[in-house]
Amino acid sequence: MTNTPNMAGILTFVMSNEIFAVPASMVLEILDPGPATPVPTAPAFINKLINFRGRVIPLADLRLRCGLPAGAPSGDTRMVVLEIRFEDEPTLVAILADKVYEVGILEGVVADKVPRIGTRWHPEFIKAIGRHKDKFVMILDIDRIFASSQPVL
Amino acid sequence: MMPTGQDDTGKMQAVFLEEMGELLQDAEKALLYLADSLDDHALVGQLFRNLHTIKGGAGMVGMEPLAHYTHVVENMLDNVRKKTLPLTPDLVTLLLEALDCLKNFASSAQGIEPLDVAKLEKSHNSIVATTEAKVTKVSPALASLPPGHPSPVSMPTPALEPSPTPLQRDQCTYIIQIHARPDFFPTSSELATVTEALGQLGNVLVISHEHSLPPFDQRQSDKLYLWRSAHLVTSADTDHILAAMVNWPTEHRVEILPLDALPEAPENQAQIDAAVDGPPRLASATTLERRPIDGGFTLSQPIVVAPIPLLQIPKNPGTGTTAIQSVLKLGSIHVDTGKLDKLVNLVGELITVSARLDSFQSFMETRYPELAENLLEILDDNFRIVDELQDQALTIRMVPVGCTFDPTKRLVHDYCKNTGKKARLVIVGYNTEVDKKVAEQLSGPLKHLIRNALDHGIEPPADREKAGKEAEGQIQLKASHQYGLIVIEVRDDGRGIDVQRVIRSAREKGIIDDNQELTEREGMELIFAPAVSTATEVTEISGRGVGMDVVKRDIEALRGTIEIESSLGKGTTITLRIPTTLSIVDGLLVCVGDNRYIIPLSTVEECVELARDPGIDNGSSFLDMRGDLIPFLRLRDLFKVPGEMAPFEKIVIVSSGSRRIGVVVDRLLGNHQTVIKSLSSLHRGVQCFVGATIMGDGNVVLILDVLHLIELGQKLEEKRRGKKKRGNT
Repeated sequence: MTNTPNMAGILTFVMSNEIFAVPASMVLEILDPGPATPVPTAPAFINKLINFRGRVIPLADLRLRCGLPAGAPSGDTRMVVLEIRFEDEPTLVAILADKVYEVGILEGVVADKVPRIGTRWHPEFIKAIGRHKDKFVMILDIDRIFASSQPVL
Repeated sequence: MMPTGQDDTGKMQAVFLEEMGELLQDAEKALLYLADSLDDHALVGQLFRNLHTIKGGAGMVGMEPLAHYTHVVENMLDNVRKKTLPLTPDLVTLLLEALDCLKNFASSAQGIEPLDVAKLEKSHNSIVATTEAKVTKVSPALASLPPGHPSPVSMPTPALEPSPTPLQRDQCTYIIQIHARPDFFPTSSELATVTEALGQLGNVLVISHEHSLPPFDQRQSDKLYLWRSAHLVTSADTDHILAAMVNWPTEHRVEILPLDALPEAPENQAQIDAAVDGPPRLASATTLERRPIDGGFTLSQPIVVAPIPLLQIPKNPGTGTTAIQSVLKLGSIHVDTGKLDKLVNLVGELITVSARLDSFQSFMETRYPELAENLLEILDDNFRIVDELQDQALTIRMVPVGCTFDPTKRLVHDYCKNTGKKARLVIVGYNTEVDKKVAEQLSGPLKHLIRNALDHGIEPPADREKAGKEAEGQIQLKASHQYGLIVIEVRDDGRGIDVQRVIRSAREKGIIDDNQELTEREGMELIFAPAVSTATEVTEISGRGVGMDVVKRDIEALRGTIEIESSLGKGTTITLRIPTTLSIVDGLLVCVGDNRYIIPLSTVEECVELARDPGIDNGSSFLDMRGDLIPFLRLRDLFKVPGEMAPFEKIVIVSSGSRRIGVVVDRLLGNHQTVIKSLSSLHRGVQCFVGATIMGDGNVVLILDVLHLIELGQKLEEKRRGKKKRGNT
């Protein structure tokens, strides 16, 4: 992926009351929350494992990556399985979403530089802010979020 | 029960005829393909099997003429199969006619059309004539047809000619027909026992003739409808075969028929005459009937299943190529390792599913005990097969470890040529099998170890002679199996390692404290420390150590251990212990808090109950095991598990080489065979686990990295030593 989001299809979802998007092409599946195995000594934002069709993949809570408190599970909570690139290898990871909206078309990019002020989220993890159905969505730079497992604060 | 016998036979026959229709369709298709490519051996084999099944089924349902006719056709095909009869377009035509006749048999039995006896007779005769003309074989008397079952076909007496080729006589193919009593339901283990025993005699193929089953709604659940037979290629005689079948021959009617028995070239006319005029050779079929079979359907009257030695002289059973042998003769094929990996992965999935079924069965037991019991039987079968499948799938990946030894031969040779040192490489256990992936990853470390032995172990010839040794040094590479591990020893008879000098040198380098006292073993372990191995002085003095840290890391990446033993002036032995496969591990399932973990069973020495010891200090302590002080780690503390400690904790003593630690867990849950899934690269920083596995209930469970835990334990021990020392001074 390049720096300018070239994504017609996006999946929109909610984390901590804000709307985020990832390219739909990365999404493999949306799962109902199921049992997750804690991984002691792993970084907190990615300290769980789930069984995805016979494969063992990490489950990440991106809020913890950004220093926000973990969300409380609700009936709308979903796990979004993504194929990301990690060290140039395709890698599977699931992320927790408070609610998944839909797969839609990105209507336009509002800003491809995200202002530091005005969001609780780390601007370096947000690739751009776009518009979708008259709402702003933050397009996540997923590869970057996982690029280094050092906590960024 | 007797009155129902006739009815049941009718039903059986209907089922058989239906099955026969399908078999004939397949056969015809194969034959038509064959017409285009006359040398397609596999198709001939398929045809032969189809006919063989029809023959067997026909005998089973009492259609003797059909069985006999099919036998004649089958016999001709057998000769084609063995290439004693060339497959010509004429022959294909003949076979197509034969299929028509068989169809006619079937439809006449169903009352659709009358049996065309003339056509049948013609076909029969030309087939026999063709077989006889091309294959110069001896046919015994025709009286072999069982009396009371007049055949609609007559057979010409074949001309006798000596067999043209000498034949292999040590092996014979037998068809073993098991006419079981109708109340016989062998358990899977009973079946497996007999199959295995037969398998020890030779190549065995047990066939359950599913086509002999009546339709489901017509079966009685307490009756056996399944007819079994076995192909056996063996050099053993019938007595041995009978002995292998445990009590079956006494309980049931078992027939052992030599198939494909080829004649010995008759030496004189007298023998030929004897062969022709002698009594019917029904004796070739060892029919045992110790117990009359009463009740049931087709077995109400014992059926003689066509022991028709048409072209046989059974006194000297030999054999040509049988189906089984021809499969074996295919030899090896090259397979993309990716495919093998996929296969092994799928077997892994299957094991997971089986485990799931097993836990479902346990659940059912509480609700529907009766159903659960039935399920248990199926599960037993399933587990046995999955087990075997796993073994087989893994053996496909196995290669002789010797492949990785081969390049080292060259290494020794070149090294000696360049340096003037003399050394020979002795390889023991070349054929010890190991997973290909392991073998590949072993070759680097092995080269390293051999080079070290040459460089630093083996002395120049003059020095050796001075020391009273042979001028030529010896390096032994020895591989063997031990509890699912492959053990590789690299032993040289060189100068050995001076441990004290290694320790001294490590002190100078500041790797260990000046006043830190080390045992010999600990001193030796220093060789694996990175700083020591890169320090040239140490390597020169000690004669060992170049890149030993790298070797150690490589071996540990294979979940293996490395140990070094050396005796000054006598030589050094390095021992590698590595699991033979990377994909499956036998594990001990343990529980800590709400979470389960797996400890590889190969590392577990014993499990003991942890006596409540007041001397426990923040998660680490020591255990007195018969005089040995063993450090132990409490997983609860290491993993920061919330909640109360279990009242009776268990300690699992794990070891790697000679290093041991205790791992404290809440509970032991039992053994579990698991397929290892590596952790995501996103979890590369996580050190306590070698991988994860998916349990039967679908949950993920982590597999503990025992080597890492042992290292943690050793650090604790060092800490304790340090404390003690400070306390003393």
